[in-house]
Amino acid sequence: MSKNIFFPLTLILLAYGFYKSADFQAISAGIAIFLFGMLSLEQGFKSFSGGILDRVLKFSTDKLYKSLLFGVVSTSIMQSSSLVSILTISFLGAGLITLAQGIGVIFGANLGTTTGAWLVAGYGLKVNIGAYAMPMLVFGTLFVFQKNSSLKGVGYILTGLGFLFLGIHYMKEGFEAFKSTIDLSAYAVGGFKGLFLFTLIGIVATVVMQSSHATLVLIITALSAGQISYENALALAIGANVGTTITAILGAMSSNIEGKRLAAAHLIFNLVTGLIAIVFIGQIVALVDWSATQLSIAHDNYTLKLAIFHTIFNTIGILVMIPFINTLVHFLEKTLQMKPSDDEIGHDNVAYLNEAALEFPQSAMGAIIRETKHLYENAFEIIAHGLNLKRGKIVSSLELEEVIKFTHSKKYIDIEDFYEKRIKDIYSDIITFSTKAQANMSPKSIENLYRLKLASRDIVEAVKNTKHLQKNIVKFSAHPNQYIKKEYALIKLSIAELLRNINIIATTDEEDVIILLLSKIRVNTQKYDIISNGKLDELIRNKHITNQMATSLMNDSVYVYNIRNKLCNMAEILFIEANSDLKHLQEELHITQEEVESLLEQKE
Amino acid sequence: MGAKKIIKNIADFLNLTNFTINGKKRSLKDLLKKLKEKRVKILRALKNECSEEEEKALNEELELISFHIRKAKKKLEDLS
Repeated sequence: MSKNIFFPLTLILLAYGFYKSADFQAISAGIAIFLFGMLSLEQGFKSFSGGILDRVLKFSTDKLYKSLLFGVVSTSIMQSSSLVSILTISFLGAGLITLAQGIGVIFGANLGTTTGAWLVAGYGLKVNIGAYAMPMLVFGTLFVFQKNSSLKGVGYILTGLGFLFLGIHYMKEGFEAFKSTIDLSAYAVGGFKGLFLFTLIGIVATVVMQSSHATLVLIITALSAGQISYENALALAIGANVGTTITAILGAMSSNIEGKRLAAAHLIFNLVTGLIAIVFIGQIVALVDWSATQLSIAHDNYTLKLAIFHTIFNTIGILVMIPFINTLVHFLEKTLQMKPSDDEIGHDNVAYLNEAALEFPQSAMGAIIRETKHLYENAFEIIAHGLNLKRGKIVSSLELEEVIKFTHSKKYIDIEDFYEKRIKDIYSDIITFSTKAQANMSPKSIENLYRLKLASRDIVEAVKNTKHLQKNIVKFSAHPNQYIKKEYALIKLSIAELLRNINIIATTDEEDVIILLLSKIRVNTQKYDIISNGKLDELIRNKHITNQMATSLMNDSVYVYNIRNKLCNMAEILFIEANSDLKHLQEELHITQEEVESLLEQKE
Repeated sequence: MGAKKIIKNIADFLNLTNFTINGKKRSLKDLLKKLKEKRVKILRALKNECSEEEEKALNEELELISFHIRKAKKKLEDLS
């Protein structure tokens, strides 16, 4: 409702402003061009995110100081804390970095934005910045039309910078000309009243423009033209810092709970920093004056002093908040939690797939890998409980013969119901998400994505095969015929062994263990297939089982064979191919079907 | 000297030309070492008294390890 009124009202007010003042038109056009430049710049940097940016983020955030440094450097280079926020939320949503690492990056990004103030105040206002914009726009546009994605990215960055410069130029010109018609400085408000009022204006302006950088440039240009007082400019800068959290909050809306926690951390950090700046404004201003003297900055160079102020109060914010990062993480994890499911079985939804993770190819890939592992965890639960086995016992060191003696519950679970609630939706979301994600991926990544989709399909098919198997497991596990009972016990044992081995593969780092276990699964799948090993013929020939039992056993042995094969394929893709070190070892030492048969023949 | 030749010379100097192959060889050698250690352990275990079932399981594992040792050795020869 408010959005429906707000947007047309803004348009009407702008139209009225344009009608009344040509200078207002120039300032507004300057802001619009500046914002468009930021969009173009973000687009340019995003085209490089398939490699450098996200790889750097993944490997340079393992320590707090590294996270902070990444935030500062990346924001300084890209001149967009919004892009860094989105990137961080995307990686956090995909589970590739932790909340504490994400908070470190966001704190650093806040400090990184101050470089924008320094650049505009120290350089942008002193030279004819518009003159640099023109060649950048021309060369940038030429690059944008190139087919090569890297050149295209360079083109977007150049046009982005060109538009940023042009925007600053128009804002500067607009304020200079505005001075002759209206003197905005006449509306300056002093004291704490002015401090609060202009902080609020700074917040509103940043929320509307969704860019603290744009607000800051507007403040600096207005300050340099003498349209606002230095004191009010400081308050506006504090407001811009608080208002910028809206970008992170909007970005987190489409993210999972981790993304929301990060947005909350960003809000808390900027609120605390803003509060400190307001409470200690006198002391900070004194520190700014002292720093300006040390840096040989003229006493009346208010634009550079504003940049110093911006840097100082963000640095103070970081220094104050660093000792409380773990407390903040703990608080956010406690307060912002996922809604618990209210039905008996528990309807499970995707945990890592979200719109934010789609922003960057590597975060999308990471999210799909994690979600497929999540799907497997659910499948493990269904397969184990479907055969009335205890998960805890399967992954323990207990002898498998003992494991199958423990039952999960008195009656067997309804696999169909579990499938509907814990597999179907996640599987369908993985496929939909993968289709969307591959639009931004390289051919090699699309190939990897295809393999991951196959892994998901293998998991789903293993669950479906378990459903078919369950009926006879229930029927024959307590059957008076000892032969058939024994065969079904062996089936349970075979599945328990498979689940245990996959669990080891998923949790160990030892390459030799992984390679041997995968081969063992392949060999045992063939060895325990009662059709090929002649066991079924023997049971029929000796009339140990009826024809009906034989048919059931034959059908079920196919299901077991399928479950083993599907889950082994899945394990290869999910736990080995996703690990680059193991991938080439597995490629070299992968055991083929012919080799399995030859090994079994040697034994016979 | 052309740019390509300069890059090639630098790559040769830094031993980067066979980077992938060397990496594979190193991983295979490490794996081979671990497999051999495992084989020794199993052979030692087989010398001790163990039940028929345990002996069967150990022999099966030994077969798999020997198979992979042979395969890894062959791959190493191919890469050399």
